[in-house]
Amino acid sequence: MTLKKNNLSGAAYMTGAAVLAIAGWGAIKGLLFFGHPLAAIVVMAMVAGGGVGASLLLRGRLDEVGRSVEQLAWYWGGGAATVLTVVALLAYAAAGAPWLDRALRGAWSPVELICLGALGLAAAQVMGFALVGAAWWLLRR
Amino acid sequence: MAPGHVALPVKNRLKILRAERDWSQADLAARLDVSRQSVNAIETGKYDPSLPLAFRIARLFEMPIEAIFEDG
Repeated sequence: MTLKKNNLSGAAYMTGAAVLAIAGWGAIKGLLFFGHPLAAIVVMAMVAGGGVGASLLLRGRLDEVGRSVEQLAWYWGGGAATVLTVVALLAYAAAGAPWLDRALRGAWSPVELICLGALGLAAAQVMGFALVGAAWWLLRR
Repeated sequence: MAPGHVALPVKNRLKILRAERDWSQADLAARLDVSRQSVNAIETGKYDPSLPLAFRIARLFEMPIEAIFEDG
């Protein structure tokens, strides 16, 4: 992969983003499970900030197809992740939020819970973007 | 219309023209200043190039656009 202008491989870019997103998702799940709320929130912020930052920084180095796929991935991946997250949380709330103490171990302050919601949604959007973008390149090789 | 959505697929002769010149996908990609994966996506009809890129392709092969691309 070369970083010459307009020559960054969109496939390598999106595949790398998907690998990092999956690693971030695993880290978030692990930190939540083992009761480290602040660390989980920091990782969520890194995933969200890293995804958006990389997209802004590298977009100019992608060629036409890479930019088009990136746009498609934000639209469909980010959009689908938003819908799925909202629907899942509403369904969970409607069910009375069972086992919340086991899902969120450790002591959570109100500020941490707000950050969990905001950054959790942002991280989900980045993950949806990365997975849809990588899937486009994998399925259309 | 959603980003990246293409209503009418476009057929093209890119692979044939490239083969006639004995160019690899990487060769063509370098001449067009795009990635090799992008050349593959255009050749296989997975992605329809924009008008500016189609003009660049036509100039490279010294042919009119309609001799390279035709609508499906």
